[in-house]
Amino acid sequence: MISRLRLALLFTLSAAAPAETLDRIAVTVGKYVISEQDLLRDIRISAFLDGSLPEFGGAQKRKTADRLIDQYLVLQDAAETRAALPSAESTAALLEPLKARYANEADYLAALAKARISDGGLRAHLLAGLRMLRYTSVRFRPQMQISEEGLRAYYEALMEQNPNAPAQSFEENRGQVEKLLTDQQTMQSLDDWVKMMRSELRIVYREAVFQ
Amino acid sequence: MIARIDFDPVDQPLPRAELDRLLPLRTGALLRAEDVRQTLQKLFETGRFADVVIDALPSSDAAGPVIVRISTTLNFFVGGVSIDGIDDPPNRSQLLTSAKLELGAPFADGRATQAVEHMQERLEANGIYGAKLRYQIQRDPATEEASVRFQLEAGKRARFGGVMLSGDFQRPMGNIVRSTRWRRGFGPLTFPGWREVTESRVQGGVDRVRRDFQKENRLQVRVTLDNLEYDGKTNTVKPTLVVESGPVIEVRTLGASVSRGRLRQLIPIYEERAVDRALLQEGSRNLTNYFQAQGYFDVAVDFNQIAPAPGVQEIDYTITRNARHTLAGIEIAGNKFFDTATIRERIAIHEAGTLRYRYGRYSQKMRDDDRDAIRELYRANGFRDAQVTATTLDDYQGKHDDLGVRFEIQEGAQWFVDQLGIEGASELDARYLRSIIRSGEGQPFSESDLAADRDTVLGFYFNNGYPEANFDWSQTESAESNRVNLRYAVRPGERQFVRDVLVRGLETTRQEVAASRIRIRPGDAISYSQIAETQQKLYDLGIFSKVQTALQNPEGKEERKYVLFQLDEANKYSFNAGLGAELARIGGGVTSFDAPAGVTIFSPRVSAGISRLNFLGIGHTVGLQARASTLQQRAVASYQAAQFTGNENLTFTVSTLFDTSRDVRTFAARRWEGTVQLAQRLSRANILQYRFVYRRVTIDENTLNISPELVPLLAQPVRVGLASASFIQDRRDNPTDTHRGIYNTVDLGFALPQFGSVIDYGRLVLRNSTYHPLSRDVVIARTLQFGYIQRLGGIPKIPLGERFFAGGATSHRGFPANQAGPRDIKTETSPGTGFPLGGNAMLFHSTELRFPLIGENMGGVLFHDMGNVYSSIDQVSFRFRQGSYQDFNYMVQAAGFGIRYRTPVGPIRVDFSYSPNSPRFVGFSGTRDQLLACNPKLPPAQNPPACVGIPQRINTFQFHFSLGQTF
Repeated sequence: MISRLRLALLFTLSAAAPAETLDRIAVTVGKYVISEQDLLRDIRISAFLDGSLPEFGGAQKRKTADRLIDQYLVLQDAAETRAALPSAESTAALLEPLKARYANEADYLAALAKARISDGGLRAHLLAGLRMLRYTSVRFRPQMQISEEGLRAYYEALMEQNPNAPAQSFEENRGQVEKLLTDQQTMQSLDDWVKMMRSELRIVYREAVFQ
Repeated sequence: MIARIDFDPVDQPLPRAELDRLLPLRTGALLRAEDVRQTLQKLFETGRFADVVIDALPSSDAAGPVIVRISTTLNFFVGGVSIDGIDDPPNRSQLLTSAKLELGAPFADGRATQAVEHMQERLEANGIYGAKLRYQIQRDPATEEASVRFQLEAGKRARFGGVMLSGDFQRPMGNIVRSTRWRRGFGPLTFPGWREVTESRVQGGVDRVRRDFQKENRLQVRVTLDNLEYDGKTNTVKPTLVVESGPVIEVRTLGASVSRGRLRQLIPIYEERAVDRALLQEGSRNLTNYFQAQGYFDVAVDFNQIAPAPGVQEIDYTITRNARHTLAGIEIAGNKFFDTATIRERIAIHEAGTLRYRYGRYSQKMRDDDRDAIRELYRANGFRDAQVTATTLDDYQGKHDDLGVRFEIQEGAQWFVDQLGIEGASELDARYLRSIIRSGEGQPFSESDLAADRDTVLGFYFNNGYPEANFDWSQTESAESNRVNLRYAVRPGERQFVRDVLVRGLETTRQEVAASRIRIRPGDAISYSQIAETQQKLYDLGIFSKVQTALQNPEGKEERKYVLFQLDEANKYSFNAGLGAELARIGGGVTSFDAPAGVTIFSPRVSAGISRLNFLGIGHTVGLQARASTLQQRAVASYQAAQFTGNENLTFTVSTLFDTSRDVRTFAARRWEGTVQLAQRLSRANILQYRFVYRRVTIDENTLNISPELVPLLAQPVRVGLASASFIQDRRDNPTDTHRGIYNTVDLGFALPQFGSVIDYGRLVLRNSTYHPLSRDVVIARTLQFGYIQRLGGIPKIPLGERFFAGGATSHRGFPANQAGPRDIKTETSPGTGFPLGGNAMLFHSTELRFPLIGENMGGVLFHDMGNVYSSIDQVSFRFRQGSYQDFNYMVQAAGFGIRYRTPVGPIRVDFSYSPNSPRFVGFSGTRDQLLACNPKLPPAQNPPACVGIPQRINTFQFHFSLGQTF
């Protein structure tokens, strides 16, 4: 009798308990799904790496979704072109300074658990970032051809923007200016490419996730 | 642990079993975040779902504490798209295409609105600015189809309201506006007002302006339509044309004349409407090839481009033809594997001949192309190192101005396939693939075979449900010399099956008519060839103007897919009308008895017809065709059931015919006829026809050109019920201009009293034609025709209308049309008119040698025809000589020459024949009254002068003009 009552009680409680959403589609890029949990995980890891508190508001989710879309487009292109990309072991070098913040491995893992992220998730996040960086560098940087006039014009523009910067000649800063301009143009080229790819694919945001 | 997996809604577009196979989440398994993530991905990849949410609910189930609930939102796909209220142009098809609603593609929200915008653009391009387009979307959750029905209220079409011109146009504006033909007018006459706007009229106007400038040698003219400015108040459109006329470009040839038309063909600047060095050089090469093809093999062509004045460019091609040569010989050396005849079949250059290619067919380019063709022939047969050189030999065999071409072949070793491995295919498939691919162990190895094998293998997989199949190959040298090992690697990918076949768009056609033509069934592997075959069978019904086919959700990764057929029914009625003429040498005048051996007659003809397609919605056709000429009036009403009872090999036809025909000038017959026929296609080449014909034939006595005594015997009204069967075997390579093959027909029929016949007879007609190529262009063809009528009972003589009449362009060219066989001769009771009476047997044999004559399109024929129409089977004779003026039972011989000119609808032909033993006979010259006044029993002196018979003869020379080969 008691067991029957217990069963009935359990059944009633079960029926009354609210459903918990495990995951749902947040954005689709062509046939690729970015789920709400993907967004939350990425926000948590980014905050962990920044040492800040995660923020799960709609705007932050949308920003994260956009970043993940760009990352998907670049890595998908890398996979299709069979580009040589960093291996999973490459993340070890990135993890070392991070782990160095903690007294030992146990503290590190405890910090991860507190932030509700896994070591595997963190490694995957770092690897994706590394691969994106490498591929962007390979895919877009070689296209840049910067002229002498372009370098000088950029240097002068920089100096105008920063009148308080120490007065140094163009020649003294040539290497740095060249790197800055190359990086800027690489990012511009990447942005243009991503914009074009986005226009060719059907990208749908599920607004309910971003509210 | 997962206690259960529920779906919301319970009914999902994919069967539960397929979902269970697809999803990583499993009842009884641990609930893992990664599996949940993958479930979202897998479900979305199917393309069936617009959104997916996965929830967890607590469970009291002993299997586990969690129930996973997967909530889905369905996607929809374009089903059928239709439109009502069309005001052509644009026509229905153009407008629906502009909607860009692709059959089977995802139908996202807002697609209908986009479609309306696209259609509005198309309508506006056709001058329809005030159109109202409404639409209704019908969604079917069961099949996830979204059908869209548009309703168009077109409103009034706008007219042109003037033309704006800008740019540098160098011509009076009025001139340009006239070129557009946007003003109302007829030819050079212009009337007040403007025409209605249509897209083709706008584009045509722009093109005409451009052409008019080009006629003035402004080849680089640019005419663009910049804008169409619409004025809603007046409902008019004012186009803005931007014209940049460019320089006048004069192209001249110095040293040799080339017609302007030929120059336009040879110099690409006319077609490209641009002038640059590359195009001018191409023109130079084309001119060189052109002159070389004329025999000027040493021609030199150079060009010079100058600008003597602003806006003028002159291009001079200087042509030095040098001496004209003749290609006297082609030598082929070094060939061991292929004989010279096989290699010669591959080459296009040709030695000079008497009529064809007077100087031979040669140019350096053709020679080099031939060299490459020979090399490819060797490489395709395993001689991968084969080398061929082509050398042109001057003063060939010591004769000045003669050229020779020598192809020197170094075959090298022949390579073979030692081992062939096929990976990735099942054992059964691999065995089958080995039987259909070209490469095989012990077979010659060639890359062209590899390419063909790739297509064959992929075709096999594509047609067996593997749309993503991949094929790769590699080769390694075998241990044995000149042998390679081949490895074919196949990656079939996921197999896809037919979920169901959805047929849409049927309005008046019955569903079962379309269903019976569909070769694909649910559960079958998706086969693109079967889908295409079904599409063709639906077109073959002749009742659909458009048959679209697609897979629903083509990009979706799902195991089973819907196959869609969207059918647009054709217009129910079709009309045709035609004008034509017959030119033939046939019997004499209608009211006189002159010229029984035939005179040349020209007979104009008109025809008209109406057909009602898809009668009763079952794909049958009802038609009425009428034809009238001075020789014949004919009306045929027919009912045709193609693909009868759903069997694509059966065609059932019921027809009635009324015909008044004078093509045999002995008489004019009036015929009422009803026919029921079932045609059965036994195979691609063989057809059987079962037929019952009931006819009533009356001879118009006023038109009879026979002795009055014969009238009661031969010209009484006749009812004939004839049951017959025909077998047709057609193995010709090209029915309009056959080079090889066989054509056989057998027709056997019986007219019996049980069928309502007043005359009982049996009738057999046989034909056997064979065609034998002697070389690539020379064919010998022969045909035998035999016919036999055996009277079995009823009236004493076979009436005129049932007899064999033959002779003319398609049977025996020694005769005018229908002039062969027995004639009305003078007897004790009959004065005799000399006109043909037909016969009860016929035997003809023709032989033709068909050969090329001049250039590519003109051919010649030497022929020999023999045979005749005989009074009866026992009178069939091969005798050469005519026994007497009353003897027509002998074999008439004719030989001659014909010319054929090749056209897309078959050769136009003219035949000239000479018959050394054409029939002689005694004919009558006079009127019917004069004939009736004759009494054959009286001596000639006591009869009027007109009663004296005049000896005549079928002209020994005949000509025939017709379309198509003789047989």
